[in-house]
Parts: sequence; C-alpha cells; structure tokens
Amino acid sequence: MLRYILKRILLMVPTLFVISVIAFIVIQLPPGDFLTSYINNRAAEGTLISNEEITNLRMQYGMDKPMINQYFIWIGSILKGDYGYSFLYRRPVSELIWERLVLTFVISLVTLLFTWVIAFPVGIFSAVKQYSLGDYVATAFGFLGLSIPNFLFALVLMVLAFQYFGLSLSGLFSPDYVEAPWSLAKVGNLLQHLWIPVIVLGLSGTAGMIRTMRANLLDELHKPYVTTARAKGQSKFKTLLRYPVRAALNPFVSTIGYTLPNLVSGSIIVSVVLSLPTTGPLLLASLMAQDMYLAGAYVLLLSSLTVVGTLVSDILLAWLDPRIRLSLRG
Amino acid sequence: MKASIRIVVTLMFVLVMVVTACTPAATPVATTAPAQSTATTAAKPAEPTATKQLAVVATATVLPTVAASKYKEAPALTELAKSGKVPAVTDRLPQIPMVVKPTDKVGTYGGTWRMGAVGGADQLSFQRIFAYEPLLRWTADYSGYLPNVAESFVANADSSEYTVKLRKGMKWSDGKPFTTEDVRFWFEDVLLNKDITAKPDSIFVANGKTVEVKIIDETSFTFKFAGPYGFFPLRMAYNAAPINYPAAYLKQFHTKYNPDAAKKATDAGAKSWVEYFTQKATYYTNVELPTLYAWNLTTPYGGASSVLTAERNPYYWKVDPEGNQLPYIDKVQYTIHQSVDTLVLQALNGEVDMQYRHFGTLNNKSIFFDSQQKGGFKLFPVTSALANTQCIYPTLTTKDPVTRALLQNKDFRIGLSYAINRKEIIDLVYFGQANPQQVAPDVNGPFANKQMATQYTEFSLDKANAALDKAGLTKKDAEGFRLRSDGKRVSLTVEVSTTFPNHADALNLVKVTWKKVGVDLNVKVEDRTIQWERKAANETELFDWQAGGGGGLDVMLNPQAYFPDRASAWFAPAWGDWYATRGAKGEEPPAEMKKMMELYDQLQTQPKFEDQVKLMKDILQISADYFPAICIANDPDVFGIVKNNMMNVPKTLLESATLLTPAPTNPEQYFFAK
Repeated sequence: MLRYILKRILLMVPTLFVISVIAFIVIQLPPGDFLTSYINNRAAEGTLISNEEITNLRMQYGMDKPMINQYFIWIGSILKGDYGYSFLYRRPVSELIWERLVLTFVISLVTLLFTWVIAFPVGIFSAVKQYSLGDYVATAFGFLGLSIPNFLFALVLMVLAFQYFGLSLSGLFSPDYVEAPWSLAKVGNLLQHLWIPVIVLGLSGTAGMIRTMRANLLDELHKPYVTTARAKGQSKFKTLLRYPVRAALNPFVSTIGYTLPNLVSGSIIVSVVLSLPTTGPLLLASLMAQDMYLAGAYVLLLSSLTVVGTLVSDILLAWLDPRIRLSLRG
Repeated sequence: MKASIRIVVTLMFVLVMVVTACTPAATPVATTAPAQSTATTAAKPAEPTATKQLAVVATATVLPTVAASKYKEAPALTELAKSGKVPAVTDRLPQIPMVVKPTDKVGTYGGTWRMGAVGGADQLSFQRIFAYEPLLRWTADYSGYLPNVAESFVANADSSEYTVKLRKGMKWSDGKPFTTEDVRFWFEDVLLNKDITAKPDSIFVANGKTVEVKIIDETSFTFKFAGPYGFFPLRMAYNAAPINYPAAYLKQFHTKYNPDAAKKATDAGAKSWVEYFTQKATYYTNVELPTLYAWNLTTPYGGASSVLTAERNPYYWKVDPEGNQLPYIDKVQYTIHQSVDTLVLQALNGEVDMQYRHFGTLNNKSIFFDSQQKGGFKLFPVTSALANTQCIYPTLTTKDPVTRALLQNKDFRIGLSYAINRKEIIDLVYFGQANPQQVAPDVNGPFANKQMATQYTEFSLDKANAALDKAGLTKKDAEGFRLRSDGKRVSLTVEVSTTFPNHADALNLVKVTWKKVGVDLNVKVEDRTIQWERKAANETELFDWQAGGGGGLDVMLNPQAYFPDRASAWFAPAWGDWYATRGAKGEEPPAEMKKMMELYDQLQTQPKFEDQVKLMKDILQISADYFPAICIANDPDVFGIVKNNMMNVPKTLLESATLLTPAPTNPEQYFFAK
C-alpha cells in the first residue's frame, strides 16, 4: 500500500510538467499576445492609442523574447515560488489569487455540503421507496436542476428575486456591507445573497448524485446478503447504512478528487453571471486578455490540486473498499 | 350554429390581420425628459438647424472670481479643519480657483453617487467621471475647449510656442503644493527618460523633434516646438500629461532620485523599477498617489473587493459661483460587476444614481422605461457623436490581390451600396430610430457635407446592377452570382463583432439583397479581439464596425472614417500604418489618400482655428469623392438614467469616446437634493 502511494507521488512530477507545457502552449495559442489584445481592445473602444505608446508598452512589458525562453523563465520562477506579475491587474499573481481564495472556498464548501446533505438522504429514500410519489418528485427536481443551464437558472432566480421581493441579488454582499467589518448584520446579508449561487450550483450536482446513489443502491438492495441480514434480525436502518450504502458510495469517493480543484475554482460562468468576487472570473479575464502569468499560474494551481485530489480519493477508496485494498497489495 | 362560429372566427382573424397591419411602427415612447433638440433622433428628415459654431477659449481671459472670504466647504471638511487634520479652506484652495457654473443651480453637500463598472479593465468608468483633469478641458457640447488646470494657455503668433500659467497656491490631494516642479519632473524624468518612454507620444512631437519644456517660474512654463503646431491645444484637452506625475511622491520610486528604487521594486514583486514606477504612478492601481481629481479611490481596482469607493479630495481646486468648494457629492461608489446583466438589475432596482455607460442601449430602453416609477429614476437622451451606427469597411489593403482589386474599384462599392435596403434595416433592427446615411459628420454640425451623407443611399437594384456591370462583373454563374476576373464567384466575408448584436442582424438582411444583385455575402460573427487582430494583419475582406468622428471636434481628432490615420484604421490598415510611421511600415497609399494625409499634416500646424476647420472640410470633400466605406444609418439616440433626487445633471448628453462623456459636464457640480 505504501509503495503504491509512493509510486503515485513520484508520478505526479512528470504529470505536472507535461501539464505546464500544454497550459503554456494553449494560453499562447490565440494570435497575438497580451499587448495586442490590450491595444485592440483600446482601439475598439475608440481610445486614441498611438504607435509610440505601443512601443513603450512593448518595452515595459518585455515581450520581445522567443517562446521557449519565456517558458523556461516562467517555469523557473514558479519553482522558486514566484508566480509572476499580472499584466492585466498590475499586481503580483499570488496576491490576486490569495485575496479571492477564502470566499471561493466558502462558497464551494457550502455548495458541496448542500449537495451531499440533500443528495444522500434523497438518493437512499428514492431507492428504498422506489416508484413512490416521493421518488418521482425528488427525481423531477433533480432533473430540473440538471437540464437547465446553470447560468440561465441563475439569471431566472435573480429576476424572480427582483420582481417579487424587490431585491437585486448580485454579488455576495450589498454595496453597503462590502467594506464594512464583520457583524451579525453582515452575515445575514451574506446569507441573503448566498442562497442563489448555492442553489444554482448545488441543484445540478444533486441530480447526478441522487440518480447514481439510487441506481447503485438498487443493485445492492436485492443482493442475498441484505435478505440474510434482515432475516437475522437486524433493523432496516442499520442494515441499510452498514452494507449497501457503503458499497454504493464507491463512485462518490472516486469523484472526491475533482472537488478539490472545484473548491478553488468555483464555477466560472455562474460566477461571472452573478458577479461573485471569486477566482473564476479572474481566470476568465486573464484568458481573454492573454495575461500569461496569471492564467498560467492559475491553471497550474488547479492541475496540482486535481492531481493531489485524485491521489487522495484513491487512498480514500482503498480505505473504504477492501476489494481495492486487496488488489493493490498485489 | 356551426356556420356562424366559422364566420365569427374568420372575422376575428381578419380583424387581427388588419390591426397588426395598421399598427404604426414602434415609435419612441415619450420619455419624461424634454423634447430632444437634435433632429437626427426621430425618423423625420433632418432639418438644418443653425450650424453650431466651434469655439475655443484658451487665452487668458478674465475669469470670474469669488472673494476668498466667501469660501465655504463641506461640513465633514469643516470638522477636519477644526481638528487640524487639514488646513482651513482658504489655504486649501488656490489663489484663483476655477469657478464652475452649475447646470441649474447652486447645490448642497452630501450623498453617495452609486454606479457600476463591468469587468477588470473598465478604467474608463473612472476617467469619464472624475479622472479627467487635464490642462484644458472640452466644452460639454464638444465645440471647443476651456482652461482647466491651466489658468491660461496662450499661443505665440505662429503657434510654435505655448505659455502655460498654472494656478498659484494649488495643491495635490495630499496637501503638497502643485507647481512647475511636477511639470519638470514629467518632462525630464519621464518623457525624456529612455527607460520609461522609448519614444515620446506624437502629441509632443512637431517637425520630427520632441517638444522642449522650459520652466519660467513656480507657476509658468512653456512648450516650445520646432515648428507651427496649431493642433496642440486640441490634443491637450484629451491628454493627462504633463500634470499627472506628482514629483514629491514619485521620486522615491525613480532610480535617478532614489538609489534603492530598483531593489524596492523587485522586493514588491515587480519585474523592473520601471514597472513598479508605472504601477505607482497609476491612480487606480495605487490609491496613495496624490491627484488633482475631485474624488480619489480608496481601494485599488482589480482587488477582490467588488465595491470601490472614491472619496472627496479636500484640496480640490474648484468652487461654484457662491464660493462653495466642490464637489458637492461626498463619495462616488462603483460596484464592479462581472457581467452587464447584474448591473442592469441593480439599475432597474434604483441602486444606480446616474449612468448610461454599459446598459444605455436601444435594446434595454423598454425595460428601463417601464421601471422608472419603481426605481425612482427618469430616462434622459444621449445623442451620439458617431459618424455612423454601422459601417461595412472594405479592407482596401487586404492580402488577396483579386479581392483587393475588386474592393478598390469604386463602382463595385457603389453597386454594393445601392443594393442595401436601409429603410428596412432601420425599421427591423434599429427600431425605426434612425435615418439612412453614409458615414459623414453630423448633418446639423459645422462640418456637414450633404454629398457625403446622402450619396448612394437609395435602394435601387437597377442602379446597383448597372454599377456592378460597370465594374466589369458581367459574367454570372448558374445560380446568378457574378464571377470575378479569375472565374471564381464574387463572394465576400464580412467579419462582425459580438459587441454589436444588432449589426449581425442587419448584415443578414444585407446578405439577402446583395444576393439579388449577384454578390454572395458570408456573415462571420466573432470575438472582437480576433476581428481586430485579423484586420491588423490585412486578412479581413469586409470589416463591420461603427464610425467615430461625426460630432463636434471628433471630426478633426478622429478622422479614421475619412482616411486611415493609424495602423488600427477601420479600412486600409496598411495605408494607415504607412501614415503613422511616416513611410517606415505599411503600404504606400494612392494619390487621393496621400493628399488627405498631407492636408491633415498641414491642418495640425495651422495657428488659426478657422484654417484648421477649412482644411478639414477639404479633406472631407476628397473622402466623399473617394467613397471608401458603405454605411447604413446615423447613430440613434440612446438613453441614460438619473435618479429623481439628483440635480445639476444636464438634460441631454453628447456621447463620444474622445469627449469622455460625462466628464466635460462637470460631475463635481452634480448634487443630491435633500
């Protein structure tokens, strides 16, 4: 088991290296670079930008070296812990990401908990009381959340809140509370704004989980060992939780790997539509402006978290399921 | 029974048909703002009103002054002055503060002006409200300029030397004196410093030589050019230099004055001292930078905070005619949105006090009109200084030789223009709110050129076919499309940006009518960065965009709709590049283009404003005869919103990127009624 873990950790290094090369290439792929898109945007807005200004900017930003050199300079500084300077925001990249990390984490964590808290019991209920009215209702809501695009759902909820409650619920705080120190009122304001992103993001995840849980559990519930346990006198509830549910949890634990990067990136499009001050819009803005350092550092961060998260979920799976533990031993 | 039901249903059907046929086209519902003054808005033929006179006021006229004993200030500042944190108001204001005439009446202090910005690169939202304090400022109707930071700005006889007098006793927002030392710092340590400025901006270059700035005393200095440069003041009304570098503060970041500057920069994470210096000298990334603005940001732009507040500058150097120190409003608060939708929602809910940027479009007009009562605001018209709302610019310097020859053929362009049903497009896409027009200066303005505005706007398939035949495209293929000289079908791609959703709709209508005269059009919608990238590389065939340079002084400052004056010009980028680099790059243009470029060079040297105007009119006539672009209609009015309790906001605004609307309307004198 230990050897397995060590081997995986060693494999992470080349994986991350390949990812960094691909990320670098892809970010630089669109024609031009940060400066040309900056200049084109200014020109498109009608601002008079002169040739001399362009020359000055080019000199200031040092965008005159060939691609390969730029890559190694970049990777070298990342390894030293220096994530570079964002051209778009004119600040160090680490500052930019760090500022938004806490809030992003909070939203994603609350969404995750919301999804699990709803999906598990409802999924179990759906399986146990198969084809009942409750099953159908739960499934219908789940599919509703799954089929409506997230951003459309967010817009609809915002419009409904505006029309019927007279609230404009954009962002995470009302303008008066953004800079104010933390207080009970501020928490209340946050909760008032938080429910839209949590519901929008949570509902679609819930549907998938409910159906998977339901399907897996149905498979398990009809197996002989369940009948045996019941025949031997164990209560329904205990039987349910100790054996079939544990087996049905397999697919969930294996996807935990992806929740780690999701916690950090949140959902980009919904964040943009709802104007949430999270890291998602930061990535979008940096990609559109071809801000190499910000976009590159961000993508690397997400990839590292994914790789680490996958390892964590594999370990968790091994812990949860003896069958996998045995297969790992050789 | 059955028969009568059938009759009733048929009658209802007929009734419905009749009603829908007779309903007039959606006319603009009267807004609560008074009747619009320009006739270009309603769909009536434009009647020539008295042509606006262009006026420039730059000489040392006697300014209205207020006795120092009458100065008054905001209550919060009185408190600060009492506790000694800031000096008394008479010491904070310069000896001769600028007197701003209020739009309606003298105002009262207080309130927070809430607005919205979108995205992470919306600095223009600040520049258009408070970060506009150049030496000279535009008049609100874009007809001229006035002294602003400069008390006077006088040219010598041949306009090669300008003497500028600053205001004695004026201070930066941190209380330090604002003197010509700041101008010298800009000139010697920024403009002439090769690390910071590789090449001085062409604004400060005449006859190929950079300007010489000579300091006379604490408040006066001169700009000395190597030749006549009558256009200089117009350029200065749009330029932040030379008074945007507070010397006392910035010296600590400059290697000439602080040997540790380079180390300071790398410690802070910057790549070089120049980068750190530039970041420190930018008001929206460094909020400690002293400025001359009415309000100053308290948190930097680009941080995680989704609300930015700009607070009153105690040392602001303007007063109203009764001696009240401006601004009236205490704070300007920006909510940073990631998409326009949340901004629209906030505005509908009455949480935006006055704004038109981002959401004031024709498509949104109806929902804002409906929400006036609920939101507590009213709509006001915003007229456009654009020369046209939608133009199809042929890329006359496109790479493919056959396409290029075709596009450069005037008869071809004439034919294409005749084959556009402008009335239909205006009714269907622009809500009937415009008139058919080619790219041209404001038809009611001093540069109006009737030929330019109305030529080839008629919708006539016969004339179109005749012109296209004259262009040599007489052969047609089996489907009726004309064939080029190389035997291929005449097929053009027009690249249109997602920034203008209405344009793509209009182009699809153009496609239908062009097909009737045998021209195949592909409408390609793409992101604007790709579109501009491809145009810069001369890879586009037809490029769809608006046309600036229509109203007020924009005609002279932004002439790229008439001839290409820069590499990013809308048609013929290669010729624009040739002009901008003085022949070093790009392609040599044909004779007519070169003539316009020569005249424009001459224009910039003319000392007398009337001579500049005359040369511009000559350029316009040459451009009208050349007919480079095929355009649809004049730009319809859009709208802005203002809360019912916000006063001194003008009844209409003239929008132009160079005018930086609404800054020239003096937002520092807007106020909230109690």
